[in-house]
Amino acid sequence: MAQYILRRVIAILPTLFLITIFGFLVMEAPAGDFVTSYIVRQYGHGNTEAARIEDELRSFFALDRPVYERFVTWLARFAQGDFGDSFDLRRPVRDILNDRIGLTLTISLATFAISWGIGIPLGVYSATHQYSKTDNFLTTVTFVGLGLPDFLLALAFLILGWQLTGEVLTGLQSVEFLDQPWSPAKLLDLIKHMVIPVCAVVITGTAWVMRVMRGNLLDQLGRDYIITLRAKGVPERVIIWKHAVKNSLHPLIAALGQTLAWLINGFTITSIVLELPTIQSVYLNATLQQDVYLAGTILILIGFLVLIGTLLADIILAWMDPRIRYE
Amino acid sequence: MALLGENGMHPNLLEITDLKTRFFTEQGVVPAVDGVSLQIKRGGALGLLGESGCGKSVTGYSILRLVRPPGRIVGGEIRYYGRETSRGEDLTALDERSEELRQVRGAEIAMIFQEPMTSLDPLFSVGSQIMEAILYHQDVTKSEARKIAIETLDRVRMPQPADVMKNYPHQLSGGMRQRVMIAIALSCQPKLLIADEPTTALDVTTEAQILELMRELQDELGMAILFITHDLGVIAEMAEDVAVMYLGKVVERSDIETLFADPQHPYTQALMQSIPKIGQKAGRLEAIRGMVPSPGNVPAGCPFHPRCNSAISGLCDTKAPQLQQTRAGHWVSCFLYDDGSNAKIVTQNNSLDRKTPLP
Ligand SMILES: Nc1ncnc2c1ncn2[C@@H]1O[C@H](COP(=O)(O)OP(=O)(O)OP(=O)(O)O)[C@@H](O)[C@H]1O
Ligand code: SF4
Ligand SMILES: [Mg+2]
Repeated sequence: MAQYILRRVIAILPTLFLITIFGFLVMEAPAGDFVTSYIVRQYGHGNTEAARIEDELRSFFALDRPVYERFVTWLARFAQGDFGDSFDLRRPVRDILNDRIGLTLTISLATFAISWGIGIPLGVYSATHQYSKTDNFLTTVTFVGLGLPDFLLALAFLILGWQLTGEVLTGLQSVEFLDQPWSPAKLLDLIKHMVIPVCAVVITGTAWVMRVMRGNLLDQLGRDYIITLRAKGVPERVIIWKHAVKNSLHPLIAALGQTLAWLINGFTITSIVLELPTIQSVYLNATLQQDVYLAGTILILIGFLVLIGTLLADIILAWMDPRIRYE
Repeated sequence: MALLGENGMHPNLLEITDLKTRFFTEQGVVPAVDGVSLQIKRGGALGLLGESGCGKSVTGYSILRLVRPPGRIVGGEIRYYGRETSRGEDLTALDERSEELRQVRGAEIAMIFQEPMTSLDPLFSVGSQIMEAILYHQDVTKSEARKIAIETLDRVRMPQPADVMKNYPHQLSGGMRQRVMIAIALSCQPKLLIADEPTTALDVTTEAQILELMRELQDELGMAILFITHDLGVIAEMAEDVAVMYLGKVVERSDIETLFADPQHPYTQALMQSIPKIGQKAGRLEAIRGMVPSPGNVPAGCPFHPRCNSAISGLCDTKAPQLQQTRAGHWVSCFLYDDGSNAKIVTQNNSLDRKTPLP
């Protein structure tokens, strides 16, 4: 097992490196241009100052050096957590991410935990009570949940919330709490604001987990080994939870790999619609504004998370499944 | 009804009476088992013989109540005299999820299957899968269960049983997995073992080894066996009594010597003739003309009549023959041994009736 993990970790190193090269190229793509386009934009705002320091800017961003040299310099800084500055927000990328990562993870981890926590038992119930009234009901809800995008649900909830309370619950914090230190009242305010995005995203998330779980479990319950278990007198509850469910988790765990990146990359439109101060919304904006350091850094982070997530999923699968472990 | 033997024990371990198991599919109702009656003696070996699709497995599954929806037992009795030795208990009356049934499964009646490759849970070691059977039926600790499991593996002649305990199913060959399946089945010393074509998926050498093992174990442990197969050679080796099935019905029943010496039903006779002679290549059971009709579309009259060389027209294609005793212990369902005066007219097949309401 340890050997398997080691092999896997070594195997992703080249890919990790490729991601940094790719990220760097993305930042370089409008090379030279981004200073030019920055100057043009500043000019548009009536700021002629930028044009005068063009050369300064170029040498600051090492645009006058050869590409590989720039890459090494950039990589060394990146590795130390210096991700460069955002043109658009005029702040270090690192600070921007720092500000947002906490709330982003709070929302995404909450939705993730709730979707899986509800989705798996409901999926198991549906599969073990196939074609019952509850199953039919849950299956219908699943279709609706998967058919409606989460941002639409978020909008609907926003309107509903406004009609019920008279408040428009966008963002994650009421204005009066923005610069306050943490207090029970502020926490309560945060939770109040989280209800809408979490509910909206949980509905689609749960629907997905439930559908996958139900489908896989039904498939597993039709397998030969289930008959063997029944024939040897194992209680049905144990057959389901110990054997069939464990065998059904494979695709969910494989999806876990994607989930890690989803934590900072999921429900982007919902984030925008609800004006959530998450990494998603700043990422979309940065891409639109050609804010290369900010967008590039987030892109690389997402790439890393996909890779690490896949690695983790592979390790969990190997730990669960001897057929993979002893490959 | 057989008389009670000495000490008040019923001489049979299991009596199946007029068992009917149907599948309620979207295309219609399939009478996979259609009025089967069988007796299995204590410690005896009954063979169930027939072509693919005739309902052998469904009969075996019905005994342990393993038939899954859309299948369901719709009639008959399965009396088990293993625990309640004089009166027996009707297994068809038990709830599928009941504790009583759970205590029969594995402990009283065990079953092994045709596909050793898929019959074990791939995620658990074979040791844990054997121990699981023991732990759910016997009041023993984990380490005692482990000891019993190793002993049972040893008993099924598994080399290095203690090491094999740690193996996962995919690390074992088909023959070894079938040994594990047999070990699981034997671990709680059942009184009846249902073996559903346990060697069909194995190569010839392995098949011979497994058959020999099962014969030896039956002698050692004194358990009864219901041996399901489509192979006459295998049945000759394994069974004392034989029931021949065709399209969900038993068409002939006797002890093995009588059946081989004097097969009476035209279907049994055709089966015998289809055994490949030495030096001559022939497919299994292929010498019988015509195709097996699907059990969802049983011909009127005697179900075998479209393929039967002795069919009596006007009788065989309208009336269904009943099992009749032609000599002591030899039962045949064919008009060649019965004038048909008591037979019921069966003009329409009773199966694929689309109007039959689904349950
Ligand atoms: N799940 C099911 N759904 C519908 N029909 C079924 C199902 N299982 C079995 N049957 C029907 O029952 C009939 C008998 O099946 P069974 O498995 O008992 O045959 P068998 O004699 O064991 O054949 P084989 O030698 O192929 O194992 C089949 O021909 C099929 O039509
Ligand atoms: S009853 Fe008639 S058709 Fe059926 S086996 Fe006997 S002779 Fe053949
Ligand atoms: Mg079968």
